[in-house]
Parts: sequence; structure tokens; C-alpha cells
Amino acid sequence: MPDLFEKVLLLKSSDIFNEINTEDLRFVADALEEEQFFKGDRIFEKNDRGDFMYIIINGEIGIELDKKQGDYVATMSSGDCFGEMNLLDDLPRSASAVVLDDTMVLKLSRAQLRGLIMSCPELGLGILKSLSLKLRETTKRAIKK
Amino acid sequence: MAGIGSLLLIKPGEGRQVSHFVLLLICLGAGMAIGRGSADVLFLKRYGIEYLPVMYLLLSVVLAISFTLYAAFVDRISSEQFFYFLLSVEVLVLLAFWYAIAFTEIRSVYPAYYIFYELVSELILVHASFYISQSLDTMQSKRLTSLILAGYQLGMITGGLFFAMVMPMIGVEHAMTVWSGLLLISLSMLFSWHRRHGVSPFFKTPSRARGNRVVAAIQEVKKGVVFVRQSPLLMNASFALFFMVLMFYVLTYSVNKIYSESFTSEAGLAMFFGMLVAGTNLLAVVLQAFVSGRVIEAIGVRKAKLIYPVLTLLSYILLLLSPGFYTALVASVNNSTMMPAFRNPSRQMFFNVLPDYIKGRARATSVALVLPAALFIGGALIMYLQTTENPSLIIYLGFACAVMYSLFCFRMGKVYSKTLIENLKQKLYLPENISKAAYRGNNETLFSELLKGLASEDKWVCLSYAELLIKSFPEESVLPIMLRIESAPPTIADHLIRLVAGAGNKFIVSDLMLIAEKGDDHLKSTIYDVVLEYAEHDYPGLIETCLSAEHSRVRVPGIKAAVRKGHGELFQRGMEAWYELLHGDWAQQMSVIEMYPLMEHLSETKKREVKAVYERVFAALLTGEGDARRVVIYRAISHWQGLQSEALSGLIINDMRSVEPELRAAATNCLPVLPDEQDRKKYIWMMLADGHASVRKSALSVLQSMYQSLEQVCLEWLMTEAVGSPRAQKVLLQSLIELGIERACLQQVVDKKAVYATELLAAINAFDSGGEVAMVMMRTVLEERLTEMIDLILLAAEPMVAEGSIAVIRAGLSSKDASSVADAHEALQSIDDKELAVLLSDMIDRRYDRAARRGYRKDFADRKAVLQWCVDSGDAWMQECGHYAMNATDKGVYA
Repeated sequence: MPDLFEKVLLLKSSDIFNEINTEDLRFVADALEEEQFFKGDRIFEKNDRGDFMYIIINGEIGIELDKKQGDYVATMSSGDCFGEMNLLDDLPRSASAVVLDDTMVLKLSRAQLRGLIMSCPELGLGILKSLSLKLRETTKRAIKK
Repeated sequence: MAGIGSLLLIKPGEGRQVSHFVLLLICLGAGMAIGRGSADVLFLKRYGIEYLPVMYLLLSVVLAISFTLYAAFVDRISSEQFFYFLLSVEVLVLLAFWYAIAFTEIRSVYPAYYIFYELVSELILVHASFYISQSLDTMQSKRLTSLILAGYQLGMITGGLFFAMVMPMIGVEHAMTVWSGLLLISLSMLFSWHRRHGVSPFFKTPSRARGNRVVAAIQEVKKGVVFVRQSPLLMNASFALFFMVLMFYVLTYSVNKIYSESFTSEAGLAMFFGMLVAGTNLLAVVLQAFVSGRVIEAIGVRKAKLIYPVLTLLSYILLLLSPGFYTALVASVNNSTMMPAFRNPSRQMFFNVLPDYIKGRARATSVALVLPAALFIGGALIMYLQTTENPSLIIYLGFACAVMYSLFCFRMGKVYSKTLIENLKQKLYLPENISKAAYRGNNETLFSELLKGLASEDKWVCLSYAELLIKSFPEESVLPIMLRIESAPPTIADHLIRLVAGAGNKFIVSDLMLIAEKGDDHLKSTIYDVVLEYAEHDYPGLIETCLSAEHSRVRVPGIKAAVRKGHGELFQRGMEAWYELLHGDWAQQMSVIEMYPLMEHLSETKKREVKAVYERVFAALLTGEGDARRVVIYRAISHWQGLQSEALSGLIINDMRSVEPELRAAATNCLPVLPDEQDRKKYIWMMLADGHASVRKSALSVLQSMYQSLEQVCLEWLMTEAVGSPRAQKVLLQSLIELGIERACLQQVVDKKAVYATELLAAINAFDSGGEVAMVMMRTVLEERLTEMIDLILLAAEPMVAEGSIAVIRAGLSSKDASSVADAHEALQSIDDKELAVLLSDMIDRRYDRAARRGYRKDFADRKAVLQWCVDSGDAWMQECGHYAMNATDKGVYA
């Protein structure tokens, strides 16, 4: 099981938390819960309500848009983060997550994240900054095209 | 000297700068007075008053063009460079005028000189204000601008006297040489000051202009017109300005006509004009210093706004009844003194209800459009009336303009209230800097609008409107507020009772007692408390009634009143009731937790006794209560001065780690309770770094309460104490900047933090990229700290450099976008402090460019030394990470 500092580094490498200082991230790291999935499990389905985000400690996850065998739009492994946008926008899941290999994840619920942001608004500001930078990058790419 | 400095609000280190500005403005003002006198005398005596209206026509066009060009180009170069240009051109043109007037017979030089004076008098004053604003920060501006501008009036007085005494002897045609001399002195002062002190500190390097700047300036005027059409206040203000300009110039024409007829000789007229300029400026200074503020405060801004138009109206009536030298003199004195004393400050107050983005554009429209238009029409009308057989028609024209001006000023007052209400309604913009005078004497519409706000169910809205109501209508507000108290929920009623009682109106007491009779115990308690505080003698049995009440809340006002007496049987009964509640159940204990103010009425023995009981009660209450009640208890504890308790310390420290920010903030406020000073400091540092702003604010206020001078302790902590986290340091630094700390101190902070940043850089160099978790973590933390430290240095440097440039640099650096970082790097070059610019550039290079870091100073023998440095630092998070990495190293995992 990862210790606090390892969890902090995992969070720091995620898209949504990378603009937050490690000092503040330790509160998020404290709130993370561990969960084990086995090959073939389906973590969530497309159009489900997304209540959790996940960070992969080890294992492999496939992201699929349709239930076609082996047709994954992305595969994710150790250190990758998924499901994070649902914590902020409340929209249903845009894809399904399937366990490709036995996987250990850290998960964070929407309620926990909101509680943490209320307690430490600097976290919210950091998330906003990450999203803003991402949006800027996407816009830049779109303009180039 | 120090005493005079402090009397004039000049801080140590500012004396030279203020002297420079004042002396500069004295020279410019003296020159202007000489220019005024000579332009008037030469035009009137050598060219003819009959051509004055033509001058107005020409001047309107010249002013409109000049100010549009000025607005378009003024910020292209620094303000002193613009001054060099302006003054040099002025000197050359003046010398040319001197040659033409003194040695040639060219008649057209007189109107040209007149127009030239009118133009430069406006330009120099406007640009001088701009120049001063580019050299002072906001705090300095507030303190020093009026003092500095007083230099201009002092110059006008001196120049006026000089003109009256000397010019008639040497000849008015030589006035330009004296004026040029004064301008050359101003130029040399400017030049030598900026050679020693560099560019004006708040000059922003202009960005590359997009599009035509003249077109952009005209666009601003157009936007102003749109605002004028939308806002009744601005519409009326524009009409008022239009008629005021007409009225002003018609009066100037009329009195000048009388003066030129009264003084047959040029020397006589020159002496008179010199004395007039000096005298009216002296009177204006006296009025501004001792009368204006008091009158505006006493009668309110709406009425004060009418003083100048009404007096001008009277001047016109005098001129109509008896057109002669003395009535003209009265009119001139009124024009030159009442305008700066009453019209200008009250107009400023009127504009304060508007947001800044409207204010600026409205001013642009006034200067570039309304003023020239009025001048043009005024000139044309006077020209027409000159051709009629009755010359007094011109005075009738001025009189009509004065009537219209008064009318629009009156209408401005009416719509002003409406504008104020609109802003209150929308809750978009609550003006903060409106004086009491602005509220006073407003009309019924405002009153009824405030009543609507008072009826709001929203606590904040209701109380805000109640406060405004009491401030604007101290007497009329009592009845509606009393009625509102009866219908309001307890939390609002409580505040309203204290608000209305705090206004000091004793007549409300009997009404409050009537409300208490019908109210519940909660309301009774608040009302009895207020009544016993304000009118105890009128209700002799009330203390007894309270003390024998069943409900603990109702007993509290009785206890307070009895104990306040400090002796006797009633005092004893009060003490007994107090103890009884302290030893009662939690509800009874909660009702007496905020009784600290009573301690001053107790003997030393009693104080110790009560304090010990409270210590136990607080500890017991905190152990069993939920978050919301704990907050209330902590608030009560924070009021207990000198209370230090081991028993409470653990509870406070524990709650400072709560997830609830309100509870953390409340517990932080109780930090003085911790008996150990080192502990107090440690936790203040910790809470200054909290992720919630309200907690950080609490920590700062605790720091302030524990030490006499916040400025001193913040600086001391930033400079000498163990280095806390950057966020905590940022809080201290920001409060120092808000307190208006001197530049020299900020420079010390910059230097100190720069040293620390270079150590961080050297520490980062000890780590390679990649590696095991503990080392990656350590390097990440060190890099974060370096980024934060650079940001802190920039924050400290911000008040020392041009406004906005540091913000651009900080935003660029935090963007993580390569081109923005490069832009920030570029912007650093605009910092005047070249040493700081080089240092920061170097640091940023090494922070973001790994290759640039290679070969950087090696302060640390090895990685272990870095870890030890982290563990020894005062930064709690670095310590924690350092320990973690050290443990990993000791276990041999990363050997």
C-alpha cells in the first residue's frame, strides 16, 4: 500500500491536481481509499453517474466507448488517473472502464473532494488553474489545426 | 523636522521626493500666474476685448484637438520625458513670442499668445498631476497629493505678487522671459532629479500600439457619450458643465471688459491682475483648508453643490444692477475661489457613486467634447450679441446660463439619489468612499427605497440598509426600525436592537420595553441588556426582575448590571447568580460564556477565582459540544485577555487541525491561551500557511494582538525568525505592503529571500531527475519552494516597480507556458532595479532550464547535507519531507 508521500506524488502527476502544492495535496492523499479490482471487472459503465475518480497504483484498465470486445479508446496503467472530470461536472460517464489486468486503485469520492475544497479553497484554485491551462492548450492546438 | 514631516504625513525617506514635487509645482505655478497676467493684459490692452469671443471659438478647437492628441500619446514615453518635451517647446515658443512682442509690430502675436497661454495652462496642470501619479504609489498618493498640489497654488500666489510688483516696472512684454526662466528652472530640476533617481517608478513600458491611437482616444470619448446618454446623473452633469463653462466665459468676458475700461494704463492693469491672481489663490487655499470640508459635511454634498452656482447667479444680478469695477471684482473673486472651494470637491463626490470604468470615460467626454462645445457656442453667442445695440444682453446671457447651471446642479442632486439607489438595489457596486455628507439630506425616494431594503428577509441586506437608514435619516429611521424589530426573526432583531440603541437615541428605550413585554425570552434578554446599559435609572426594578427570572438568558442582563455596580447587596446577588449559572447545566453555562467585560469590576481575588472557574467551564464545554457550539465557545475564549491554560491548549491545538475552516479560525483566535511562547509562534506560523483565507486572517490578527506593532513583527519574522512556509511568509509580506511599509524594508526582504532562493537552487542541484519516491518527492518540494520563493520576491518588489509589470511577470511565470515564461523574462528587463532584474532572470533561467543549472554553486557537500538542511529549516512541510527522505536513506533503500 502506498504511503502518504507516494500518494502525494501520484496525485501530483495527475492532470487535475498537478497545479496544487504537495503540501496541500497531502490532505487529498489522506482522503484517498484503496480498492482492488480483478481482470474482467467493470469499474463503471458509460452513462453511469460518476461519483469517484481513480488513480491506478498497479494493473491495467481499458476505456471503451462501446461494448465491443477489445475495442479500447485508451488503456491506462500505474500512475494514470481517470474519471476525474465527473467529480466536477456531474455529467454521466462518457465511457466505460474495464479491468484488463488485476488492478489496485486509489479512489476519491465527489463528496470528499467537495469537502476538501470547502476546507482548503487553495485546492479548488489549483484545480481551476489546471483546467484553465488544459483549456488554453486545447485552444492553442485547435487554432494550429 | 521630523515633527513637521509627521504633521504633513510625510514618512521618513519621502522628504526629498516631496520637496522636489513641491518646488517644481511652485515654479510652474509662479510661471502660470505670470502667464495669466501677461496674456490678459497684453490681449486686452494691445489687441482689444472685442476679439475675446473669437479667442473662445479658436480655443475650443485647439483644446479639443490638443487633448485628444495628449490622451493618445501621453503614455508612449515616461511622464518626465513628456515634461522635457512640453517644457522645452514651451520655452522656445515663449522666447519667440517675447521677440515678436518686444521687438516687432506684429499684432496677431497677441491673440496667439493668449491662446497659447490658455492651452499650456490646462496641459501643464493635467500633465503635472499625471507625472505625480506616476511617481507615487496608491498609499503615498492618498497622503501626499493635496500637499504637493498646494505647491502649485503657492506658486500662483508668489507669481501673482511678483507680476503685480515687478512687471509694471520692467514692462509686461518682458513677462515671457521671466516665465521662460521659471520653466528652465523646472526643466533643470526635473532633469537633475531623474538623472539621480531614474525613470518615474510607476511608468509602464508601453505595449505595442494596436491600431491608431488617436482613433482609440476618440473611441473612448464615444463610449463616454454612450454612458452619458444612459445615465441621468451623467446627462445632467454634462449639461451642468456645459452651462457652467458658458457662464464662466461670459463672466470672464464681462469682467475683463470692465477692468480694461477701468485701467487706462497697461502697468495699472498688470498690477491689478497680479494682485487679483495672488489674492484669489490665497483665499482659495484658506477656504479649501478650513471651510470647504466643514461646510460640505454640515449641509451635505447636494446643497454644497449649489453654493457656487447660486453665488454666481448673485454676481450676475449685481452686475446687472450696477455694472462697475467693484461688482466685477466680486464676480471675479467668486469665480476664482468658490469654484475650487466648493464646486470641484462636491462634483468629485457626486462622481464617486459611479464605477471607475464609467468615471474615466465620462471625464474624457467632458474634456474633449462638452468643454470645447460650450466654449465654441459661448464665443459665437457673445460675438453675435456684440453686434446688437444693447451690450448688457451679454450679461443677461450669462445670467440665463447661471440659472440653467443652477437648475442642472439641482437636478443632478435629485438623480444622484436615484443613481445611489440603483447601485444599492443591484448590489453590484457599493461605493465605499462616500462621506456622511453625501447621504445627508437626501430625498424621500431614497428613504422609501431604504425602507424596502430594511424589510428584506436576507439578514445581510436588512442590516446593511438599516445601517444606511440610520446614517442618512437618524431621526426618521427609528420608527420603521422599531416596527421591523417586532416582525424580524431573532437573529435580525438582535442586531437591529443593538444598531438602533448604538445610535444613541434614548427615546427608543420605552418602545423597546413594550416590544419586550410581547417578545420571547430571547428578545427580552437582548432588550433588557440594552435598556440596563443605556437607561438603567429609568427602570429601577429591572435588575431584580432579571435576577429572579427563570430563564438563564434573561438572568444574564441582570447579572451584568448588578456586577457593574462593583459592591453592595445587589453586587453580591449578581455574583451568586453568575456562579449558579456557571455551575449549572450546559445551557446555563453557555449563557454566561461571554462575560469577560465584567472582569474589570471585580477585585483581584475575585478575578482569579472567576478565571479558574471559567477555565474549567470552557474545557468541559469544549469536550462535549459539536463544531458550531465550539466556534461560539472559542469566540468567547478569545475575548479573555491573559487567560493561559494547559487544559485548554490541547483542545485548541486539536481543533486547529479540524476540517472545518470556521472552527480552525476560531481555535486560531485562541492561540494566546497557549502558555508556551515557542508553541504560540510555531502554531501561528502553521495557521498563517493554512489553505483557508479566514484562518490565515485569524492567525494574522492573533499576531497583531500579541505584539504591539504588526509592521515590526511581520518584518522581524520575515527577516530573522526560522523560515516558515512561503504561504505564511506571503501573508506577512502582503500585510506589510498593505501597511505601506517603506521601500528600504521591502528591499531588505527581497535581498533576504533572494539569498534563501539561491540556497534552494543549490539544494535542487543535488538531486538528479528520476530516482526513488523519497528523492523525487524531495526534489519536487524543493522546486515548488523555489517557485514560491521567486513569487514572494516578485511580490516584495511589486510596490517598488511600475504598476502592473510584476503582475504580468508573476502570471507569466506561473502559466508554465514557454512563451509566457519568456515574456515574463522579457518584462523583467523593465524593472529599474537592474541588480534585482539580473538576479531574478538568473534564478528563473536556472529554475526552468535544467541545462542552465549545471555548474551552479555547490553549497552542499552531498544529498544528505541537503536533507539535513531541509530538516533544520523552519518550514514544517520541508522538515517532514526531509525526515521521510532521510529515513529512506538510512534504511539503505536509496543508498
